[in-house]
Amino acid sequence: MEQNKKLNINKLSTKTSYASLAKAEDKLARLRKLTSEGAELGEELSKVVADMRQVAAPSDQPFIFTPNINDNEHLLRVVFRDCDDVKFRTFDARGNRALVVFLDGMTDVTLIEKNVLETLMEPTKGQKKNINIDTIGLIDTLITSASLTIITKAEEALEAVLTGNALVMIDGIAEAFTIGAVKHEKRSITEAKGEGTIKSPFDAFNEVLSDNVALIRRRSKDTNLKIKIMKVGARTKTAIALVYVANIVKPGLVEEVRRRIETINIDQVLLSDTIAEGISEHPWTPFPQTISTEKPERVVAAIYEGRVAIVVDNSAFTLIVPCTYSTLMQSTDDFTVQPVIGSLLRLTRHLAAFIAIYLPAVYIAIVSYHPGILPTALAISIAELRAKTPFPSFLEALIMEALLELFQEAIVRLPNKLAGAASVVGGFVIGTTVVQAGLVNPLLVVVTAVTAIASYSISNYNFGIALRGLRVPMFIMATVLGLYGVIIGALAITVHLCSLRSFGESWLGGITDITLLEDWKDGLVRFPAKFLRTRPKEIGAQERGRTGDNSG
Amino acid sequence: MLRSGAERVIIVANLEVKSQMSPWQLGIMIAAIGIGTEVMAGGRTSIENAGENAWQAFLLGGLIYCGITLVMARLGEYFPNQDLLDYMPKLWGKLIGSLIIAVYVSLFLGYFTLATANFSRLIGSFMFDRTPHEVIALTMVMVCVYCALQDLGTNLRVIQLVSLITIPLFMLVFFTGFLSFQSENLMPLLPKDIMKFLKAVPDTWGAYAGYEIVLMLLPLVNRGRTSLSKPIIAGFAIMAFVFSTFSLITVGVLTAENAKTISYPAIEVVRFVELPGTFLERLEIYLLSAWIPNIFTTLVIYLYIAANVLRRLSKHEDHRPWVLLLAPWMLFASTILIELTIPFKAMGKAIQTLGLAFSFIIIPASLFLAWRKKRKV
Repeated sequence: MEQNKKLNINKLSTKTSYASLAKAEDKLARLRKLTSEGAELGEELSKVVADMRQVAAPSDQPFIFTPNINDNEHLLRVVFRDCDDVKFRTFDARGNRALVVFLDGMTDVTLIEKNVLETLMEPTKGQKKNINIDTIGLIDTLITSASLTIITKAEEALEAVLTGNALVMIDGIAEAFTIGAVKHEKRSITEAKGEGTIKSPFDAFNEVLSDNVALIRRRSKDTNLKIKIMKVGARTKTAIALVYVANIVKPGLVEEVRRRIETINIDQVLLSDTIAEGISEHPWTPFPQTISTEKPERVVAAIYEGRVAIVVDNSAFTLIVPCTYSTLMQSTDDFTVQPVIGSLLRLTRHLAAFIAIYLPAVYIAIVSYHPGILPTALAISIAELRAKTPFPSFLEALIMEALLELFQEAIVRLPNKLAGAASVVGGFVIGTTVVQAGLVNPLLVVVTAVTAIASYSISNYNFGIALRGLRVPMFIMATVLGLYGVIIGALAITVHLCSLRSFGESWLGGITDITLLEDWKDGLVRFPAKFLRTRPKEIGAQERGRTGDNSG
Repeated sequence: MLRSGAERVIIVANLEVKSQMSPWQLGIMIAAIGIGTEVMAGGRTSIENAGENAWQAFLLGGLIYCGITLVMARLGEYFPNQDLLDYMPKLWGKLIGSLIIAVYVSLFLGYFTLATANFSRLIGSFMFDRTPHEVIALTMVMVCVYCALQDLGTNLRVIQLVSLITIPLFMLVFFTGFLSFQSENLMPLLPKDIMKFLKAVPDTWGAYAGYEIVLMLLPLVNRGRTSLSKPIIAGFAIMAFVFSTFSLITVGVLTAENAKTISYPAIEVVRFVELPGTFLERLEIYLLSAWIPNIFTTLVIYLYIAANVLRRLSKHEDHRPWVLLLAPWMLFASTILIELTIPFKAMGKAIQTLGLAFSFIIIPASLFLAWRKKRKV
C-alpha cells in the first residue's frame, strides 16, 4: 500500500492536472515574451547609442570625426562591425597615438609600411622623438606618399577605405588622411574577348577603370580630351568616367549624358549594360541604344567624331553614345584594309543584317505561297524534298531555329572544352540527323546555316542577337501572309528603326537622309582617308574639319 | 507634329529637330506621295483617250501639275511660317475659308480610302486570290497607322529610305518589259486628235495627286539658300519619268488597244517576261514586292497630313489621336469600296473633280486675293 502511495506521488501525470499544465505553458509564453522584449530593448538601446553618437553629424554623414582618436576608432569599428577584412592598426607616431585603417586584399600593405608606418614611427636623424603633429606638418614632412588627401567627412573616409585606400588618423587631429594605396588582383590587358579583329591593335579594356582610362589617354595627347568621374549606385558607388573632347563634342551632349546617369536610381551597378539601360530612350526595343566596345581605338575614334564615351569600373565594355546604325556596323578592320575592300566588307555586313532577319521568312513565303517565282526545276526539287517531311514549312523553320538557339546558348554557357564537343554534336544533329530523321528538309538546313552565319558576321554582338530575335516574328508574318507579310513586317521594322533616337540623334543616322549624303563616305561604305577630312554631320560635332585645334 | 507660326527652330546638322525638313526632303515627299496606286494601272485611263501618246499626256500633265504646285509655293510665300489653315480664312473669310479647308481634308481622306481599296484589290488579284481583301487592307492600314503615329522626322526618314531603295528597284524590274517592247506599237508618235489627247491630260491627275501637301508643309521647310522651286521640279521630274516610262513601255509591249482592256496593264507587261539563263520567273511578284513599300509611303503621307489638319483645327497638341480615330473609318470605307466597282469609280471621279477644282480654281484665286491684299497694304 505504502509502495503504491509512493508510486502515486512519483507519478507526475496523476498529480498534475490539465489546469496546472496550462499554467506552465502560460508561464513559458510569458518568459518567451520577456526574452523577446529584452532583445527589442537591446536593439532600441543600440539605436539610441548610435543616435547619440550622431548628434552633431549632418544628416548625410554617419558621424563626424573628433580630435579624440579613441572616439574615432570606436565610431569606425561600429560602422565596420562584422567586416573582418577591414584592418585597424594602431601605432605610436612620435608620441601621438595614431591609427591606420585599410581593407585587406585591396590595399598595398608594403606602401603603407614604407610611407606611413616607417616615417611616422621612426624619427630620422636630427628629428625629435616626441613632437606635436599638426595637419600641415604631417603633410609637409612626415607622410611621404605622393597621393594624399585630407578628408573631413566620414562618408568620404569610409568610401576611401572601401575603395582600397589607407585611412590615417592621429590623436589630436579632427581630420583624416587617405593614402592612395589601392592594389588588388586584376586581369591584365589582353586581347578583346568579344570583338574579333585581324589587324587592329590588340590591347583591349580590362575591368579596372584607371587602366581603361589610361588606354584611352595613351592614344591621344590632347588637353581637350576630358575625363569626368562620377559615382553611380547607392551601395556599390561604382565609378564611371565620362570621356569626351571638349572642343568637338556636340554642345549639351555631355550635360545630357551626365543628367541621365545621375537619374539612375539603383543600389548596385555591376555591369556597363546597367548604365546603358538606364540612359536609353527606348527600353523596350531589341536594338542596342549604346555602342559597347572593348577596343580603346574605337572609343578614341568615336570621341573625335563628337560622341561621348562612358567607361564603367568593373566592366571591360565601354559605352559610346549617341549610337547609330552605321557605327554599329563598323569594325576597326575596315580601316586596316584598302578602302575598296573595307567598303565591300561593310556592304557585306549590311547584306548579312538583311539575311539574318529575312532569309528564313522569305524561304517560308516562297515555299508556302509563291513557288511560282522559282525556276520550275528548283520548285519541283523543293517540293520533292518537302514531301518527305511531315511538318509545314513554318514548323520546320521553327524547329530549326529552336535547335540553333539551343546550341548557341549551350556553346556560350559551357566551358571551352565542353563547348567544342557541344559544337560537334550540334553541327552533327542539325546538319545530318534532323534531315535523316525526316524532320526538316535539307534546303532549310542550308537556309538556317546561312542565316546563322550572317548573324555572326555582325560586328556588334548586341545588334546581332537583336536581329536573331526578330526572325520568329518574321516567320509568323511569312506564314500568315507570304511575301506580302514579309514586306509588311519589314516596313514595321523600318518604321521602328527610323523612330529610334539615341541622345536626340536618329538611330539610323545619315543613311536615310538625303541631306546627310556626305556622311555615307564613312557610313555605308568607306572612302580613302584623304577624303575623310570632315567629321560626320549626323553627330553635330562643334568642329566639322578634322584638322585639329590646340585651343583650350 | 506639324508646327506653324513664328516658332521656328534653326535646323542643325544632326537630326534632333523633329518637325523641320529641308527643301530636298520636300521634293522626295512630293515624289513619294505621287508614286502610288496609279503607277500599276500604267496610265490605262489616259490610254483610253490618248492611245499611243499616253506617255506624252503624262509628261504634259507633270508639267501642268508642277506649275500649279509652284503656284502653291508662291501662295505660301505671301504668308511666311503659315499654312493653309492660317491663311485661307484670312483670304476668303471664315465661312468660305473653312469650306476650302474641309475640301482639302476630304481630298486626303478620299485619296487614302481609294488608294487602300485599289491596293487591296490589286494584291488580292495577283498575290493572294483566296485571301479576303479586308485582311490585306487591314494589315497595310495597321503598319501605316504605326508610321503615321510617329513624328515628322521619323516619317521623313521612313519615306526617304523606302523611296530611295524601292523606286529604283521596281523601275529596274519594270524595265525588263523592254525585252518584249515593240517600237511600232507607239506609232504615230505625235497625237492625231489634239482635243482627244488634251482630254487625257486631266486623267493623269490621279497619278500626280498629293502634291497639295506643300500647302501644309511649306512652313516646316527650312529653305536656307535653296530655292523651293528646284526640289518641287525635281519631285515632279521623278514622277513624270516614272509614269511616262510605265505608260510608254505598257503601250510598247501590249499596244494601246490591248492596254485599254486590262485593269492593271503594267503588271501584265512583266508577267510574261522571260529572262533566259536566270533564276528569276514570274516577275510580277517582284514588281509588286517593290511597289508595296511605295504605296505604303503614299498612304502614310495621306494619313499623316489629314490627321495633322484635324489636329490643328481641333487645337490639339498631338496628332496621334486623330490618326487612331481616322484609320478605322477609312479602312471601313475602303473595304466597302473594294467590292463595289460603280461606287468606287464614282468616288474616284468625284475626288478627281474636287482635286482639279481645288488646284485650278481655289489656288489661283487665292493667289490673286493674296496678291491684291499685299498690294493694298
